[in-house]
Amino acid sequence: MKHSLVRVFRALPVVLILMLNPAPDAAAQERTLAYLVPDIRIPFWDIMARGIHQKANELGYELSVHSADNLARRELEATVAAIDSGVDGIILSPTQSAAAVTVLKLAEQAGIPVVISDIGAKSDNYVSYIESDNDQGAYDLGELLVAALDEKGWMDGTVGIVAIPQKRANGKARTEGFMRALEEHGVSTAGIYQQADFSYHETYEFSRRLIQDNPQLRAIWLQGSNRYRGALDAIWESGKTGQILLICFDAEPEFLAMIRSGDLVAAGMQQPFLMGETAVEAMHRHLSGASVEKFQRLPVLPVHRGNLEQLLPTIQRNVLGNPSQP
Amino acid sequence: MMKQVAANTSDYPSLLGRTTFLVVAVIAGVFLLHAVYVYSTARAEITAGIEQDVHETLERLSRSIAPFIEAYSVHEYESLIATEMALKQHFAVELEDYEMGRILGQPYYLYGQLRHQNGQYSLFQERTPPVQNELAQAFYQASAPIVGGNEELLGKIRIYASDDLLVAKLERVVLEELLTVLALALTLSALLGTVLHRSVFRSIVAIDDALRNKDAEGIPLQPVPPFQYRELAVLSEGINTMLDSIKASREQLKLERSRLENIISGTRSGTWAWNVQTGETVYNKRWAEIAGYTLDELKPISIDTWMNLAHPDDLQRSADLLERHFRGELAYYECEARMRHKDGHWVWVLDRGQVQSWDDQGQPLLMYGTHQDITERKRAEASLSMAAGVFRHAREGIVLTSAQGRILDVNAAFSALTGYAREHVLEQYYEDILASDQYSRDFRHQVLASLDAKGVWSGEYWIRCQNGSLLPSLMTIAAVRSREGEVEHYVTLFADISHLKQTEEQLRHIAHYDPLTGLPNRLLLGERLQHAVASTRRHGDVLAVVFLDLDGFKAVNDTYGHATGDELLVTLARRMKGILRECDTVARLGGDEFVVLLPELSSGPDCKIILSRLLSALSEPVKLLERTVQVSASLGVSFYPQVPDIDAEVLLRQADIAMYQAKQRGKNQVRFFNGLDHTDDAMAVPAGDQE
Repeated sequence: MKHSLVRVFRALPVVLILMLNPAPDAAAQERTLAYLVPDIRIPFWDIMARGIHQKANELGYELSVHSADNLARRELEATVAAIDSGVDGIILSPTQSAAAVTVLKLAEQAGIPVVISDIGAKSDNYVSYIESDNDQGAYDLGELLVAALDEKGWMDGTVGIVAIPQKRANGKARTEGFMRALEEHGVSTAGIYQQADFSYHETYEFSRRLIQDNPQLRAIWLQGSNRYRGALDAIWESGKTGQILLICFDAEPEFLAMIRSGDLVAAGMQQPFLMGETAVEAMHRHLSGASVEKFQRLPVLPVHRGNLEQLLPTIQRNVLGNPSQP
Repeated sequence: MMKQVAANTSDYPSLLGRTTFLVVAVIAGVFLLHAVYVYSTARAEITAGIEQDVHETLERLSRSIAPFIEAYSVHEYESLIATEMALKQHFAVELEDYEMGRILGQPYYLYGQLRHQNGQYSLFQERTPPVQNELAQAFYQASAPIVGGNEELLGKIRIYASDDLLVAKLERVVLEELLTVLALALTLSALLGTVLHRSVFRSIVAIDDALRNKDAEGIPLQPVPPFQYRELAVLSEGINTMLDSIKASREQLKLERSRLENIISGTRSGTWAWNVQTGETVYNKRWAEIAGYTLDELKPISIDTWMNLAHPDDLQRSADLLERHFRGELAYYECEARMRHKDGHWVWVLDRGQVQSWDDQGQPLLMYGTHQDITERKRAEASLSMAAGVFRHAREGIVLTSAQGRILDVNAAFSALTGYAREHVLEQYYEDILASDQYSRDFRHQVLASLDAKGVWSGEYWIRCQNGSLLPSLMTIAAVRSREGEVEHYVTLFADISHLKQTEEQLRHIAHYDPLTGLPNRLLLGERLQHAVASTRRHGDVLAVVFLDLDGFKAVNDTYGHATGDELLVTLARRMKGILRECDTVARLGGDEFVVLLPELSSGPDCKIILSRLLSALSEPVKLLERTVQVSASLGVSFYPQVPDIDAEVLLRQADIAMYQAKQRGKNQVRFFNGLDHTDDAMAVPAGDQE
């Protein structure tokens, strides 16, 4: 039973290759890359996979994408499958930075270079680590929120935070950047809750507690984008719509309209498509024998109503993964 | 045999040091035993602890790792294992992950950690021979299955423990125990030392200090102080009692010794102590001084010192006497012997002694005695002996009297000279026997004064003999005094000088008398004239000096010869002596010149009768042996006293002048010297009477 499942999962990359690379060029026949992605169903990873695919295609690499569906076992199986298939390089977006250690160890034992794109790893035996500049992005968001609070005369109000796990490097960087901006302007925080299961209910509950426990609360910052609805519902249910601002890290397609409408003060938008491209470029440079920067931080776009229209082409391509749209 | 006493008390070990050492040794020993016990216990405990630790780790890891294996969180469980290993310091760990093995197509995924000597862990994922060798050295190992939530066997974990940890822990235990032992031993030793020092040794040190402060004879000067504790107080009291007793005994001993030394010193005795069997001999300073030496000069000192100094003749006698004493024949050894003085002469000593201790065989062991310098006595004895000979055989009479004048002894010569038998005079007073009435009391005082001042009187003395006669003697009286100067005896020695006196008288007669007529000569006349002048001056009477010259004597002498003339002179002299008074003197000056002294006259004329008789007597015929002859005499007279005073010589010359006038006036007459014409007419009366 298990062996049959293994076979199914090992066949999955081939399916994805067929899906993402219907017309591989002749040069890619010789070089293959594997992209180990936590969960391809999540837009962020999907957009990054597309950026990888875009660049791999450009550089003539055959790409296989292995989604682990956020399961460590599947990530490991994909790793073993990629190694067994004889790929030349692995682009890794690990399910967890800890899980990346095992992947890196297996790849290292097989002599296969690994470029990590986001999440990070608790070891350094990789070629390059591509990540968003979470600290800069969060700081910029903080500045935007302070400006909004100041505009409304709410500088004495507090800000509640619903954070991604702080043991993750990106979570820690986001908190530090954002807090630095608030402290520079004397804005106090009301409290911070860490997400565990990233569910709607979790985000809603954390937001409700912040509102309930902090009468001076004037803003909620979500370090993740996908459960923003929970926060909005909590604000609405508390009767403080319009009195409590919402600001988010990352981006969702509907954020463009929300920023325009003012429901969302701003969003720190990572550029997953660009990250995927950058990762393949790094791998390519490594495989080509060129030197590669160990760490590469890509900027997070601080999008608000004032710069939305200006950044829209970049957002469409690098953030939303639509290179064909203007 | 008496144990030899160490010369210096510093050679003895210190009680404080010895006790402290023993205390420290005992404490260290006890703690070392305790350390051994702790070591063995700790070893068992550590071993059990290691095993328990291994099993606890197994249980904990097997329980903790299972979810990670199930979640394929390899890094998490590897981190967990690494943390556990870092925490527990196990020697090695092996994890067989069956789930990961399935992914890898292997029986298991092996994760291992092995600790090296530097304490760092290395990973291994294969059991290579070196790894297996390392693991084979493990001290203890245990394994446990890893079971999943549905009881599925997920893997197996094995923990290895090395004895490195055991050794390290035991070393630490030993080190800690040793440090503890050391610290406790030092602390306890210090405490015990302090307590002992405060409660005991300080007191002992105080006793020691008190006993150390001692005089030259080793007797402590100060008493031991009192102490707080009963035992020490009893000890202190006991020591002080003994010290008091010793001091009292020593004082008594000193007193007795001082007395003895004073006696010895007072008697100026040399002392000797002789070990008869070894010859070892001890002399005192005086012993050497008698022979003129110091003790240092006599070193090395032994019985040979005496034998070398003693006179060989006396040494044999000394040995004989000693032998008799040793045999018990003599209660004491006593011998007068000579020792050669340093200056070479012999000194006499009275050597006396007695054996004081005898050995088990009855042989003499220790003998003590004295030397008394009897040289002076010996010399005195010799002198006495010689004196006795003199006393016995002297021709001089010798009388020994006591200071009070009683006769103690007389010699034979005394009896022969005085006629007194010895028995008759003994115990008689000297003066009663020998004193002569002719000596005044002043004479006696002079004798005694001389004896008192000079110790001797010498002079002529007329001894009254038993028959009443007087014996002229040349006597010497000597006072014999004691050392204190007190007269003990008088020695009277006298020689018979009777014959000297006779000779002296004869010589005196020859010198003063005319040998023909027996009348005083010019010398004796001078003496008597001087005496008569002095007597006349003293008594206030008158002296008449008559110068007489025979008339016609020369013719007789020339006619009949000198023998007739001499015979005439002798006859006439006899006639003059028959006429004159007892107090008168007639002297022959020489030839036919005579001088007559007529003292004690009440006046000048008183002499006319005598003068007249003289003229008569001299002018009468004289019958000689063969014939009868006749002469006359011319007399010149001078008187004394005169104004101014004149001396005897002038007086005689005046008489001579008057006699010359008588000759000129016709001889056979008397002429008196009178003033400027040297004759006194009145004095011619006698002459006129004669005519």
